[in-house]
Amino acid sequence: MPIVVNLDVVLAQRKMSLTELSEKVGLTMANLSILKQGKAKAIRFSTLMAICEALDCQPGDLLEYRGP
Amino acid sequence: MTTNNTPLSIKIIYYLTQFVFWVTLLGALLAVFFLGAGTLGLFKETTDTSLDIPLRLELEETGTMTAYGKTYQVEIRDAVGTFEFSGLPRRVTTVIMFGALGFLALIISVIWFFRKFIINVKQGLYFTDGNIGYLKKMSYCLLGLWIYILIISNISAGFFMSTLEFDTVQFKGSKSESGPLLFGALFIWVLSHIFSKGVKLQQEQDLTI
Repeated sequence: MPIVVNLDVVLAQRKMSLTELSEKVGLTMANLSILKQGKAKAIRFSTLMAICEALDCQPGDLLEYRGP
Repeated sequence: MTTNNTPLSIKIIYYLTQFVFWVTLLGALLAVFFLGAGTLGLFKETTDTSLDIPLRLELEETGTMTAYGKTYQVEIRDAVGTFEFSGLPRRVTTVIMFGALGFLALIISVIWFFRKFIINVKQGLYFTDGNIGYLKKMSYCLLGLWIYILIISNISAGFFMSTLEFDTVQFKGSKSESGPLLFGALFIWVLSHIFSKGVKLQQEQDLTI
């Protein structure tokens, strides 16, 4: 999929672990792992909003389009 | 995804399917046992046997009906009934019984796949690859039954029409009521494709964060 999720990059910049993010946004570790590994098929606006709030970033920081 | 909130109707269908499956299997095992024993000649005391065959035949027979003080003309055009053939040689009944076993095997297969399907449904596993497989196999078996009945009814029609002779009844042909089987097979086949789409939607839903 040409949409890449840069969650690991943003987490590293914020020096935050996946467990901490999971506690902050109320998502399971399993779901966050799916998102981090780029296996997710879609992301809800509510999830994106919660992650952006928790990491103090913009959706563009998390998602990137890499064309073929 | 599993759930304990199984609807009552599904529970009833589940227990009914289990009952029908085991009773049919037991009946089939008994049939195989008696057929095997008969083939091996364990019932030597009788050389000839009788056989009950359910048939639906087109015929021509006229009669009367008396009701309310009047007499009406009645014409029988087709009839369903069990024909008892007495004094058949053992090898004839054995061949027919082997044919009936194939029919029984297909019926048991349909019930078996439906049983597996309903077990999954009872556990809350609706859209799974396994269920798609069970539905497809059920449709193949039903299609097989339809073809089987079609062939047997045509063969038996040709045979019985040329051999049956009654004093007052004139036989014209044989009918088979296997149309609903074909419809059922096609319906279940379409259902399997709907389930296939359901599996894709379920996977997308599971991977939506």
